[in-house]
Amino acid sequence: MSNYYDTETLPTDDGQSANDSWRHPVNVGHLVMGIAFAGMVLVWALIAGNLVADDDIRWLMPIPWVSAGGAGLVAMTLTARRRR
Amino acid sequence: MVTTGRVLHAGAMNTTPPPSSAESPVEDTTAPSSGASTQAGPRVTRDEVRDLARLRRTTGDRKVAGVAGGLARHLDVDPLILRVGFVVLAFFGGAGLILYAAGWVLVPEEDRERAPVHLDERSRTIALVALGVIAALALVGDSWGAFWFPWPLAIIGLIAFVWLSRSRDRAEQRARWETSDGSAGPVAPNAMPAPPYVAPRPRDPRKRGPILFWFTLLLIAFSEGVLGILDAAGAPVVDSAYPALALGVIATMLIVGSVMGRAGGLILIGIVAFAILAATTAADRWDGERYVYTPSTSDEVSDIYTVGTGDLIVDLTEVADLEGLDGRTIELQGNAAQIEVVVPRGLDVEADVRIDGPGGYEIFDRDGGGFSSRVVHSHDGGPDAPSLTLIADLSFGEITIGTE
Repeated sequence: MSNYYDTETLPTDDGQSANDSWRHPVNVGHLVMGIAFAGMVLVWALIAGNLVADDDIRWLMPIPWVSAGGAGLVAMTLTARRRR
Repeated sequence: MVTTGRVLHAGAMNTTPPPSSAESPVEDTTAPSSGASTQAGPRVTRDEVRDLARLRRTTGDRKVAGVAGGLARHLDVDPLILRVGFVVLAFFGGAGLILYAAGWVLVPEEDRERAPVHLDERSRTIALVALGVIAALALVGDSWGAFWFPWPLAIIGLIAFVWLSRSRDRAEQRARWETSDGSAGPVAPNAMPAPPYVAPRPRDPRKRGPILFWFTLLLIAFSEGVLGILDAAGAPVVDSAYPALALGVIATMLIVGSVMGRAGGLILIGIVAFAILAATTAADRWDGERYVYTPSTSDEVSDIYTVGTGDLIVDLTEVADLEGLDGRTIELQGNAAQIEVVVPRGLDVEADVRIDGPGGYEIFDRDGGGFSSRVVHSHDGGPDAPSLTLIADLSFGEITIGTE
């Protein structure tokens, strides 16, 4: 049984960074939600600052999702290209 | 005997979903009387579904704590359906959060005996059913404010408790590994048989660096404290600035955590912060108007009443000449509002109520609600009573029509 342990291949770091580095490949889920939440805070700032009229608020609502989705698509594309 | 069956069964459930053949361990353990199909649809019987003691959280197929994955396996449905269900229910009185938290703390993971809050099988089943009932009540109450209970505090406490339990479990597991490393020699004759080897999952390369969850919570606490001091010092701070600040900190840490460190758990508290932000922003911006009309004659009764946001109350009980209302139609319109019409007893009322978005209605003895409701209801004021038609149209909110 111990042979299993002896022959196990440990994941490598692709030589990109040292083991103790905090950096890692992009976590697209966290990136997308982070940008979406940041966009929501931006929309809140515009509403709370009375910079937009009530009727125009509906135009602001898609902004967090468009920016988060766009950033997610770009991140996924770049990650896929780098992996290739 | 029963226990053995359960253990064997749980073991079988650890593998990939069983084939739909007749030999499947899922199908041959219970009575065939429940009529479950062996070819299509859920491959579990009603008795198996009701046996909540068999429920286990998944460790492989999980997004947060494996509750939806485990429940999906228990019910033999796609986990995605349950995940979406939990998220949607979270917005209705927090029912989804209650159910998920219940599953998280009470149900053990598939490869371990003890849950974060460990109860015996019978007590666990009772506790799960009780929490299910509480979630149903929250769903019916349909509002965080429906109960006096401080939900946000309870949720934060629950998250902290589970997090602490998990890190303690991990520490124990690590300690066990370290002690077992040194004793890799020949196995003693009376030693327990070694568990079957399970290949370790490869480490996720994105999980590198420090866990950011606690740091973020501390950062939120600190920044909220600073904002509170500014607020107390007289700076113009609106209520919604507090959840906005928390959401901003979470957003920043999530973006940082996407390339550096481990940001697990932040999306969940971000969703909670967003829900609070949306509610407080709406309350800040749209305090709403309050219109109260109490006409004393039928001539003073207008044909149309409108309200943008706020309360509209039309009290017809003071109208002296009810005959003057006979055959008349009153329209009531609002965007995000609460409309209330009080009619005197001796009046026939034909009510046509429409709520385009989410909302509720209570029209005499009939109530209900939901998304996009339309109801037509008549009220009999007695023989020879004058007849009035009420047409109410609301984007979202609540409409109440009743007698004094």
